[in-house]
Amino acid sequence: MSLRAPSDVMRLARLGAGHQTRLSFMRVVLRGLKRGGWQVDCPEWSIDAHGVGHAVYRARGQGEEVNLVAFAHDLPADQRSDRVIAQAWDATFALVDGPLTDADIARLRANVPLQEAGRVSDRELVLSRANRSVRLWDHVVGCLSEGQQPDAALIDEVGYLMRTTAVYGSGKFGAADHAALKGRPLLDGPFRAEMLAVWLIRTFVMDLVEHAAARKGGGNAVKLDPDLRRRCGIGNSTGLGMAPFLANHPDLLNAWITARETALARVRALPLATNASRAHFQSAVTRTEKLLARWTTQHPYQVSKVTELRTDIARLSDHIATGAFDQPRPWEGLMIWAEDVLSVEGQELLVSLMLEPHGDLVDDLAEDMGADELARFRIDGAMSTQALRALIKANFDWCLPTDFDAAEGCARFWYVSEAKLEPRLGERHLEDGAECEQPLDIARAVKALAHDLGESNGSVATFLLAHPQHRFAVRRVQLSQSAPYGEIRDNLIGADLMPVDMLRCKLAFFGATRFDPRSDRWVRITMFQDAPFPDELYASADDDWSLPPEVA
Amino acid sequence: MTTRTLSEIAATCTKAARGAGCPWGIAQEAGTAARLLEAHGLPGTTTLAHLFSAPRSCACTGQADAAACGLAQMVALSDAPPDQALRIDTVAAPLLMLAPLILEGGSWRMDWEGGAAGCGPDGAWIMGEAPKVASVTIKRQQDGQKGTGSSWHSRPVLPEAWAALQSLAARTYVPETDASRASGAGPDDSNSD
Repeated sequence: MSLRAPSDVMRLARLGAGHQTRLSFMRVVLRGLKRGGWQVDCPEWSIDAHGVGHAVYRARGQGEEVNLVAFAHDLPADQRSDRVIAQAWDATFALVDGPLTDADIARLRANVPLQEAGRVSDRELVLSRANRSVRLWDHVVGCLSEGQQPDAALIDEVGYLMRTTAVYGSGKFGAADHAALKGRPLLDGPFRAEMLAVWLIRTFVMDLVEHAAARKGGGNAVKLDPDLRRRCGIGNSTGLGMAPFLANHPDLLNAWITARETALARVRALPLATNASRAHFQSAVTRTEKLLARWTTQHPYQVSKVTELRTDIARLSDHIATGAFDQPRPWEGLMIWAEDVLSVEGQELLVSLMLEPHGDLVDDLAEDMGADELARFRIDGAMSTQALRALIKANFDWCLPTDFDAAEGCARFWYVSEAKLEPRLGERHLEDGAECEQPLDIARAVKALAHDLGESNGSVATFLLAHPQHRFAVRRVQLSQSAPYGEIRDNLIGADLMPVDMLRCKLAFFGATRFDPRSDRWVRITMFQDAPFPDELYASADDDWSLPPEVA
Repeated sequence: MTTRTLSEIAATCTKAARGAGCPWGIAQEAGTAARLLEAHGLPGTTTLAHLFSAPRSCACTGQADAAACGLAQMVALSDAPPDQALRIDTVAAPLLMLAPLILEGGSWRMDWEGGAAGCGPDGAWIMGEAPKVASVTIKRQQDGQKGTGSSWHSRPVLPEAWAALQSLAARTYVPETDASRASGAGPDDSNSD
């Protein structure tokens, strides 16, 4: 069973064309909740007539308990901002590990609404905040308060009533380190706690909008129709702050991509397509057409990609109709066909679609998507410089032709802003600050290492005693032995870099849909759209929510 | 005393080391070392802050007439753990050298005048205070002494050490300019829909 080559898979243009799959973390969490028999309730709802107060959503299962504490605020319109420099939000949240006390609520009330300016404890797993989509919020409250259902087309167009502007976990601002989740039945896996928090936030938001409508309309108000309710996801605005993550966590990136590529290889190796898998695949194609119809974006970069996708999905439908599944090893044939016919976006969409009918074959791989980043941290000083050169030749040949002295080869530099301590991207030849550059110039660093290695003999340890500045690059090169999918194989400081591709890759692994770039460096997405709410989890089909329903 | 998470300790110590002049690779090793030591109940942040508060001799500083840099010694030790007892004279912040030995996974002991530290399958330990400067002997042991195992919990850090590290870390930050604001890292305020 061979996997797609890192030289193809790890190009940024392809990573930036990724789609959610069965292995995406949102889906993994909902499968785990259901499999583990988790129950969610709302033991506390203290929201006043102005929509201000707090609520608690409690999730219990497998002998564990976590609580989402949600604070609703009366935010003046002129303070509503998705920027990371905002200081107030419509709602703020903490996901707390274990049972809550009144003292916990008081402690969280004093800190969670402040977000970065506050401090949480290591009992908190996630810290987050969200703002309303003003247009949709007002429309939904208005309609429900008058006994009417809101416009389904407007819900589809926007996709959410609130969007998170940050979902912090893993040791940020005092919250528990990721290691706290090791061995936990539901939450031991990348970003599972964060995704669980977002799913609970979605429930809170829907309850809050119905609360607002009831307060406004009194006896005339109605609840949101369950089908419309489910069509509301949670939005998210993500900027450059997320972009360096993949470059800074090569072990983790390798684990994610390896899991997906292994899943794909397992499906490709199947000798035939069963009737059930054909029907499931066909259904997923039809539902993807609906998803594409919903996918609105204005940015030219994404407009052209979505346009290509719509053509691709039509081609795929035609191809299936002409007997693609009647060939031996039909899934393999489908991928080979796609490489010739479909756009990169279309090929990556096909990867997602091919996994859909094969949960029994691939879902176990979700348990292999974490990484012990310390296990391979030490440099192997005993390695010979010849072996190091061979690794560069095998795994970093892509960076050697680039001229990093040319203006376009080093046009950008990544830095951390003094104002918000967040990653930013500067123009090297126009802006100050390059002396504070963050180490995302991986390609340049490896090329410099190759240059100084020359034809030297001896051990890596001896080489590094004379060239300590190359320790960063040596670690990356050595890691490539065991983590072939750990490196984005493009120049991250080049003039043609599209940072939004880095965001898209990570967000696709989260399970996001409807990528809507607003520039080359920030993107809006939708999460958990069409997902069951807690009270629907056990009545809904298993893991069947990631695409719009066929009939809606 | 303020508590900090291991993530915060690793991030701040990495940036502090970079701000103090270390190449990025060594800075990352400094952050990991501080994190590892703290996770095992040892004073990683204070030790690193001590290192940067006094002259040290290494390629980064270009200074020759000072105690050997504990980080430079640490990375050399990491690359080539000794087969026999290793004596290193006059090292600044020598406790840092325990970190790669914890990662290496064997049982090790480091002695200095008036104290010792070590690690093994049963955790890491220290007797006496971590010295600011000392001559040390490092050797592999057959049987490790029982020590403190790794814990992910937040832990108290000395405010003055933390402030010193944050001050160094701040050297890696770039002030906002009109150009950086114009290029936009994320949503602007016209996108509240």
